[in-house]
Amino acid sequence: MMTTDPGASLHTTGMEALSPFSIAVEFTGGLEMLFSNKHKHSVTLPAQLNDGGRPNISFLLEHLVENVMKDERKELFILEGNVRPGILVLINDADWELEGEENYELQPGDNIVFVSTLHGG
Amino acid sequence: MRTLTLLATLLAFLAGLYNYFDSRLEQFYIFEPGQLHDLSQRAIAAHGNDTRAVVNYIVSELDEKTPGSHLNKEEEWVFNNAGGAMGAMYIIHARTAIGTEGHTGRHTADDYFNILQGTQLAYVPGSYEPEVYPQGSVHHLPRGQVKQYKMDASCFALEYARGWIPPMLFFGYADTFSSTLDFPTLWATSRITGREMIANLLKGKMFHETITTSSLFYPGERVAIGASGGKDSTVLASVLKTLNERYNYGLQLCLLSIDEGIKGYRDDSLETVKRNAEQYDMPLEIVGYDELYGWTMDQVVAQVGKKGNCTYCGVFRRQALDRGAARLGIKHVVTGHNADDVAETVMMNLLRGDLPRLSRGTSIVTDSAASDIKRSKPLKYAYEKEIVLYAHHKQLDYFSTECIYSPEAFRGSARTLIKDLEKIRPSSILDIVKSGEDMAELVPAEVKGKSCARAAAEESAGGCGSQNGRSRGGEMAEMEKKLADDEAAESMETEIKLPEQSESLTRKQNKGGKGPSQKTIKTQTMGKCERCGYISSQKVCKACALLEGLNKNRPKTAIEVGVSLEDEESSSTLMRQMEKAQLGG
Repeated sequence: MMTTDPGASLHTTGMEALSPFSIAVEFTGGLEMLFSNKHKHSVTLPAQLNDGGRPNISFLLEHLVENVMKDERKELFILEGNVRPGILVLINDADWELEGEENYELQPGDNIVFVSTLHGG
Repeated sequence: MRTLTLLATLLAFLAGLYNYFDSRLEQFYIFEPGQLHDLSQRAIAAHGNDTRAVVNYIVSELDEKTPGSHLNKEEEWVFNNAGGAMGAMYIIHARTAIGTEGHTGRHTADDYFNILQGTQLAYVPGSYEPEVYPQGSVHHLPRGQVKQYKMDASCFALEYARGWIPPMLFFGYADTFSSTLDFPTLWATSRITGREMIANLLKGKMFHETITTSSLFYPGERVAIGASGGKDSTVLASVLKTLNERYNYGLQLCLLSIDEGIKGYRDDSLETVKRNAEQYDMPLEIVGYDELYGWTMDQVVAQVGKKGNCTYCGVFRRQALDRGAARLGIKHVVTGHNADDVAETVMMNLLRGDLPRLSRGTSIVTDSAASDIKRSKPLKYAYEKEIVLYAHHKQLDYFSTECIYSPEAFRGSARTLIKDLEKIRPSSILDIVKSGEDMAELVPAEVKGKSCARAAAEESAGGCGSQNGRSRGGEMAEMEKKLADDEAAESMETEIKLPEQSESLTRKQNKGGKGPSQKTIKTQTMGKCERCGYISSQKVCKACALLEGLNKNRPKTAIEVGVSLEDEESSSTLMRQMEKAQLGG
């Protein structure tokens, strides 16, 4: 019944294979417009960074801006190196504030959702 | 899995307790915090670190003390109990976390965490050492206090809150159980609930509470939901429908949409509204600018350009909503303004020193003397974040595209400011709303009345303010224009200016009631537009004035009787006659 216990992934350690892994990234609430009008993206990340650490959300943000985002208006997504205030981030459906925000270390199969609250209602 | 079972049991259990307490509200606080602490300690002594056993122990003992609960019929029972929470209430649930951290939120309830397993750390601003709550201890978080907390990976706690608990909590859970038994979602909801709903919703901006404490509705009332297809109005429709059925408000709900005539924007969002109408089984009425005014926004923009067109849109929309409601014979329109919107408005009015509008913008209900259609904002205390999360988790069908005619300006800046503040201190938003309300109370009635007719007419004139939220473009220009208009209007009006010295007196008199005190004053400045009969402080309402400008420049004047400007200026007699006729009719 439980296939994806989001908590379980937290217990995986850096000891496993160092091959790149992929995660799902989703943009909604109007943000998808900055990402080729595509809601769901699959993103492949290296298992280890140059400094030896694991890729975290900060790394993902850089990666998205440099490699996935075609729109020039980077500031609509990233401000001062972090997610623009007013954009919610969900890590496996939980508010990223519960997970350490940009320092959360990504795990294989993670589902990261960016929801803009900046559009009309 | 263990966690899920635990959660399921406890949720079922707490809903059962609720069921019991719901019928006996006055005896609400039947548990003493000390009693629960004692129980927790006994449970821990008996079962140590076997959390499930600890919880079972607690559940069974509590069950004995609450004969009304139906612990054995968990699922069915939760299903039946989709009735949700009531006003002052009581909740027990297991808060479990995997290395959870966050701020506790400013509760309107006293919160007692009985730590069943693991350790909870709490940080109080200004102190360097954490407060440590080991297994068996109680962390009491008094009403109104905020702390940073951290629970380690295996920490379980029995949480007892006394005070106001959000109804949404139940609806999230009940829906999960009843409709899909979607456990991953439940899990996620629970985790988010842990912080979002407990930490935030508890603060007193609960929807149902908002509705009941401000007596927004009366049974049998027909209510039109201003629906743009965006997140706020979609959530409003969903929540109102749910609560209406759950609490038997007895409301007749329908959707009212405005078609501004913007291709590639409004036509798409209206499709969303049409789907919503089906999903929520509500009738839908669409009122178009073209039929009301003879102009679509596309045509207006073609004529006046992209700059400043939001003024037209905003002024037209306010009337359009009223007329749509009138057409349906409905006297109450609710809009999806959320706490962030209200905070923005407060900031903007502060920044432009506009006390009259400040005083009106914060009130949950705005009636106007000359219009019998009431406006209200039931989501006024709901953070935008919650609305978005609600829509996300309920997978609501909403439309999120920026209006194509709106560049960012004044409201955009206010908005950015508020989002930045939220990042640093999440409760800033509600605190700004609260400040706005408190300041509104300090505004002397005369000042409130001063431009309240205009405020009523323009309250939602902030670009796409009333309906689609944030796309207020050209706001700066619009604002300047408004200020200029206000000044111009001021000289034309015969308003009673408040002598300086009596201000403090007025304030005193006004202290008692905030809302209704405006009413008596309003009549001084309210009139009706001599052309269309819409509420206005001037002879010709804003919409008609704008239309005149538009029509002048269009060779074939489609609508509106032509009264030349000179005629207007000298036609106070005519105006009075018109007013009489309208009042009589």
